Amino acid sequence: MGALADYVKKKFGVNTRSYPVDDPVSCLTTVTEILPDNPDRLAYTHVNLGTTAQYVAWDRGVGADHGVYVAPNGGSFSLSADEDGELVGYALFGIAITSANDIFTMVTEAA
Amino acid sequence: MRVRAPGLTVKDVWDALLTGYGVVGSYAKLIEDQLDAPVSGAKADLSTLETRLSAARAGFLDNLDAAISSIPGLRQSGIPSGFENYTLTMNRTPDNDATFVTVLDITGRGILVSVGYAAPEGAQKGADLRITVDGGGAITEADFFGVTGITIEEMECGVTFMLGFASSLLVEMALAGVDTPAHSFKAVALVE
Repeated sequence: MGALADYVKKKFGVNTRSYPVDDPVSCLTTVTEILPDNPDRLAYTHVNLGTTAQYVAWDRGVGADHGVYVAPNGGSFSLSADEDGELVGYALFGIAITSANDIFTMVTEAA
Repeated sequence: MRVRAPGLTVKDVWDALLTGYGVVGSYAKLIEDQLDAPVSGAKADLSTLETRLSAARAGFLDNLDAAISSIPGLRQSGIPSGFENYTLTMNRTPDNDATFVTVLDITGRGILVSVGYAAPEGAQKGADLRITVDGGGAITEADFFGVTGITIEEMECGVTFMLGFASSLLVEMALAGVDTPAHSFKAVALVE
């Protein structure tokens, strides 16, 4: 076990693995489920690679008046269990404002 | 939770849509209102002008320019030239009793200004007048007065006209009858 894995295990108390989410790869102009409910998820980073803004929230009411703004062209949004508690495990929903955006999401969960 | 926005690039600044910036007095608003709007309007007007100014119309404009440019330029002319570009033409011709004599015979354009005759003291006869404009029918003093047999009596300096002619003018006068001593007939025209 490397030093990093040692450190992470001590931090979270379990072995972990990280992987990119391969579905979905786009956030649409309609409510899009980016991450499902997952009680084993410990952290994630979500990136808006599109050219228009999008919003994310933890329910399907996400919109310009309900959620966290994620800027276009590389804006990112990160959660970690040690900072955000169980919010990390809730499903994440997003909606693009003008046109569908390419997205990139990395997840760390218990192995 | 951490939310990060990418740094603005120079391209982001120039790519920002003007319609999203409406603050009065801002650079974007000034650019939109004072540059984009008038320039776009002028461009549209220019496009309309270019469409309307066909080759045929441009040719007509050239003709108009040539015609106007060929008009003699205005010039200062002293007395007695009268109107610019007109030459004052006067003639005095002695009468030949009751026979019409030519007082003015002009080819060209101009204005007949006056006709008359000088009669010596004691003159008994008036003068008959005949004016032919542009080769048309002769105009006599009867045409002016509406009745025949009227003669212009003893006029010095005579009758004033503003009678334009486009190609020719013939002024003839004759005494109403034989009279002595001799009279003289006069006519004045402005010739272009």
